[in-house]
Amino acid sequence: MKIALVFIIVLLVILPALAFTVRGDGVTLKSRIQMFLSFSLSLMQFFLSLLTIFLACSSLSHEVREKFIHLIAVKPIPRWQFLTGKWLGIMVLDAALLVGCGGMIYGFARYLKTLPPVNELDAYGVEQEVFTARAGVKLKPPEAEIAAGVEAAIRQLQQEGRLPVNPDPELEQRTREENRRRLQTEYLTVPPAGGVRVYYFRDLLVNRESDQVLYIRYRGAPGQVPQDEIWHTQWLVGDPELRTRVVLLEQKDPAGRYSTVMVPAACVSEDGTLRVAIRNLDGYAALAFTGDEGGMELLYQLGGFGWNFVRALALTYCRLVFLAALGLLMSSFLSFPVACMASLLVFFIGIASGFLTEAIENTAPLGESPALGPLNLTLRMLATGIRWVVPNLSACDPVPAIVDGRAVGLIWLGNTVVQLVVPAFVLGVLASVIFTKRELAQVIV
Amino acid sequence: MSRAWTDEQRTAHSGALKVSKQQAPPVVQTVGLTKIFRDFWYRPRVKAVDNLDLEIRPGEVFGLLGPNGSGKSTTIKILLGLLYPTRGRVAVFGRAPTDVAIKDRIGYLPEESYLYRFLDARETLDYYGRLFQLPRPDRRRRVEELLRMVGLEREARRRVGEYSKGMARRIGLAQALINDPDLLILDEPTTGLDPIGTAQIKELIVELNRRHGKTVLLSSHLLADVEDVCTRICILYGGRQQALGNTKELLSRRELTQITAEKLEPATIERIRSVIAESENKRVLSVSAPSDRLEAFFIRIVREAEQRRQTTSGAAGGGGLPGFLGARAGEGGDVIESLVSAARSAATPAPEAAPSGAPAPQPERAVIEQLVSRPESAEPSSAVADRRETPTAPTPPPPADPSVIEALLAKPPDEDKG
Repeated sequence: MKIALVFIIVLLVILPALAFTVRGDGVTLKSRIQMFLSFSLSLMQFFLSLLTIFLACSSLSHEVREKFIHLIAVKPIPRWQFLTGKWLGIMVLDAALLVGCGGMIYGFARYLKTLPPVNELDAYGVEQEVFTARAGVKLKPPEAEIAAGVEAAIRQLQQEGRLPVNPDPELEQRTREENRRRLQTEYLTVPPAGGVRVYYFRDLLVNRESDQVLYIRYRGAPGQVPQDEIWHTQWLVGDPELRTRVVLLEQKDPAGRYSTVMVPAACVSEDGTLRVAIRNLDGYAALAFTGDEGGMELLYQLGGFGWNFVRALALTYCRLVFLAALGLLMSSFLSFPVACMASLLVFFIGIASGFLTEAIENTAPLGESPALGPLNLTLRMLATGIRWVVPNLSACDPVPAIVDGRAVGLIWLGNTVVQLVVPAFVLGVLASVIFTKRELAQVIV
Repeated sequence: MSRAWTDEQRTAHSGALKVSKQQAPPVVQTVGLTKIFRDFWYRPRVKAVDNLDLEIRPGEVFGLLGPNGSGKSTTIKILLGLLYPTRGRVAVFGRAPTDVAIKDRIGYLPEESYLYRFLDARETLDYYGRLFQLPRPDRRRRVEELLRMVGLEREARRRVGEYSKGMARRIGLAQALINDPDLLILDEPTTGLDPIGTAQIKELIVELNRRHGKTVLLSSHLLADVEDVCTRICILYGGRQQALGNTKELLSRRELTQITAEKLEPATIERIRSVIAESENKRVLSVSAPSDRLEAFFIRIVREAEQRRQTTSGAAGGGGLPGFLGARAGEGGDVIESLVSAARSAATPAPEAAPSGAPAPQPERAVIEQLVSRPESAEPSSAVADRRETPTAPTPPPPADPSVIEALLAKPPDEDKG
């Protein structure tokens, strides 16, 4: 319990301190609130995760090490019930801490909102981009069109004799992949010197009769940048053919930063599609919405900040449910330090799961470097195995969504329950079986 | 899920227990029990228990004796399901030790205090009572009675972590009794206890066994503890059974005869020596005046201090058995009580009962003559007089030559006056 007290005290000291010390970009209130939410929620999530692991590992292994379990195991209590009790105890404490710390963060965020904004745009940003719950739709290349394009390219290459009619499968696969990437990049790139590209955001749940505002958030990839580092673009949002409202905008946005275009909900067609045509006015640089640092996304409001915050806490709680079961499983057969290390390893792999997935995808395909073949194969198999066993905890991290005022949807919550709570149950059953089979008074000589 | 017993169940159980005690299956049975401890690489290193065959019958106090590391605690932990046998079979109440259903009937006092240090005595007992799912009022009553029994009523609000070893041991014993168990397993029960605590525990074991028919398995390397209370013992060494049998049979030395008399003059002793030498051509090995045991002296001193109400932050003297422990004894309790009181009065030695300076009682010549002339008739008297004796296994009286004792009893008239 001393560990728990230390964690609680640290959180109680740091969270209020953050509220008064974080400055954001030093100018806008919006960035200050966003930075506070980001730091405080991340810190709370990290501390509670560590606390859960420590508590789960220590509570059981402490009972075994100090032999308190000798008096429990001889009582008419099945060992699985004892483990369940341990797990429930940790979960109750976690729930209390989550509600306490979450409430504190929510309260401080509300307090920060009452501070004077820099200007109207800042006030608008705080209200519409932070204290809200917006759905986000990312711009994605149309798969069907891309696939058709790839087939056409293959046929053309074969007609031109640059690719055999019956190429070996590896060559054909590589050619297809190259053309797919090329076409995707082309689709997401607006050519320079007045080049136009039209994009569609589909299946939007927007009430087009309302006065709702849609946000198109974008940033050009850093490959090509205008000489003056300002993107000059024209935007035509809406579909004249479908008689939606049409908005024409001229933008001058600094390169390398996210910019936002705001359009009314009336621009969306009846079937929930938003048409966006972009003209690149720069004479030389192509504006590409590709890669990690580029891209375009449409955001629109779905609900309020309060319930969104509650759902975010629920998402965090799912993570704690999993970690508590993991710690109990590890300590059902390992001593405290070993169980702790093993649980922390799984935790950090889970956090880095996104990076791991990317790393696997970016490793050289088999056969490209024969010298590294066996090593490559082993690492790939290991990484793939770990990815299958360890759930992706980064995919269940609600902090970026809360900071950007994005909705933590029920589907996301449901997926998290499937990804974390169901495995936690499996871990619990496994821990019960191991603990029941274990000799509690075992002596290793 | 197990539940606390209802009164009807208890009565039915205790009744059945008494009727079928002789025919009842053993409470504990091990056949070829072997336990080997292994090292990290799973290589066998220590054979803690080796091919042990044990049978503990209902209603007996069974002692496991042996030096440190002889396998006593390992055997107990196997019986409790805390360790699993490497080979052999184990049954407790006819079931595997890991069976949760039998745990309701077992009370266990481990060799050390494994109690939560942050709980006080009352919370500790309440906690263990909850594990047996005892109803709240019942639990509270039992907790208070047990606290009184172990003499910690006044210290019940102190954390167990602040207790001395002996006090923690007392609470450990109380938790072992919270469920009114049929089988009480005590691992080194008197370790760390003061002489009063030791005497109380021994008294308690005898009471539980005699009055309530509890089966007790006692492990100790303190031989006096075992000798005082156990009906049968098993001596272990190196994990193997070295001796097994009735305590008195095992301890009796048939090659010697002991006679206890009131204080004799040196001349009389010489005459006795000569009688023995003439009649049997044997020697008197030692003649000495027995001294009071330090244990008895110590207990008397502390009892006197308690009567003066001298304050202490330690354990008090403690009370009698809690009422709930008798719940399973059922309707035969009166009969058992009368037998116990008869046994007590018969077992009290006459010289200790008589105050110094009071007229010495007449030698029980008739009784001794009867014993000498008809050795086979000694059985009922012996069974009542010796609390260690079991009705199922009466011990034959030690062999003695009647003529020698008759000669000793034919004392000169002047000595009767002294």
